[in-house]
Formats: sequence, C-alpha cells, structure tokens
Amino acid sequence: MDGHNRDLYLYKRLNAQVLGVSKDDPITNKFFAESLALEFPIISNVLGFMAKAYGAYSEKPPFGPDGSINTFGRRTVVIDKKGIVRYLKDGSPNNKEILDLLLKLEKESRGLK
Amino acid sequence: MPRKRLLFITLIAVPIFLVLGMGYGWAQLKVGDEAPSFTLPSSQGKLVDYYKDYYGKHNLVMTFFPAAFTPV
Repeated sequence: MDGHNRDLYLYKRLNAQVLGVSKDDPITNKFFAESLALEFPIISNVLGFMAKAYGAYSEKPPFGPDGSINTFGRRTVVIDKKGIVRYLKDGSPNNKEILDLLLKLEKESRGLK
Repeated sequence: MPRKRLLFITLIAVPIFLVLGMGYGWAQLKVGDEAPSFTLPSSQGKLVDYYKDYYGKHNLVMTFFPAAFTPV
C-alpha cells in the first residue's frame, strides 16, 4: 500500500486509479488508511467473494475455524478502461511492471504505438 | 446388465465429468477476461462501484492484501 501511495502521482498521470481490497470492515480500513496517510480508497469485502472472483485466496494459514481457506493472498490486478483484466500477479506489487503496462495501455487508448 | 452399465459409464458419464471438470478450470480468472464487477464500501466513507466510477474512464490497479496493518 505504501508503494502505491508513493507512486500515486505517476498512476494518475497515466489515467489509472488505485484500490486496495481487504476482508476487514470499513472502519478498520479507515484507520489503516489514516495510519499510512493513503490517498486512495481501500474497499472492504467482509464476505470475501472478491477473492473468489479474482482468484486471490491465499493457501497459507490462518485458516477458518473449519480449516477452510479464508484470507486474501497478495495479488495485484490491472483492469483497463474497457473492463478487461490486463495483468495478474501474486505477491507484493511490482510498481515498475505496473507502470510500464499502464503506459502501454494509455498509448493504446490514444491510438499511438 | 452390468455390462450395459459399464458401457453407459464409459461412454456417457466419464465424458460429462471430464467436460465439467474442465469447466472448473476455466472459472479461474486469466489475463484477457472480463473483470468481475463489484460495489463495496471504502475507507473514504463512500460506496465504490466499478461501473459507475471506473468503467470507460480510468484504468484500475487493484491490490488484494490479507489484512489491515500488514505490509504490502
């Protein structure tokens, strides 16, 4: 999240917005965002269906009470203006890769090569 | 009779299970798929709706993380 916040002005220049997704409630997320002075929203998905939809479930502990997988893994997804997934990466986000891709997307949408 | 049942299993049931099984594999999101849309409450006190806020306007970078107060 810190890295995204640092590079936010670059994302904005490339017409991209940033979202964090977690399973915490909105109030916890609000305090978390304040503690890091984040300028982008963190959305909360307590039921966890976003992780199923985007394949972001982690296979590591902590597990749910019945031993099921119930935490998000770290995963970064880039969605273009037309709603198509253009990038998927597990693990901590690699901002350089994301910025390179966003530059490509922006050039595509302006009809440049 | 058992022979007929065996024939049924190999010719009909097994292919159906194979096709269903493949369908399970396809459900995994890939690059090039349409992104599932969402409407969820955000830390900035607003509802974030994919179609209202981002579709057709902005590229979106979305990072999933395990819990608040963890480094990403």
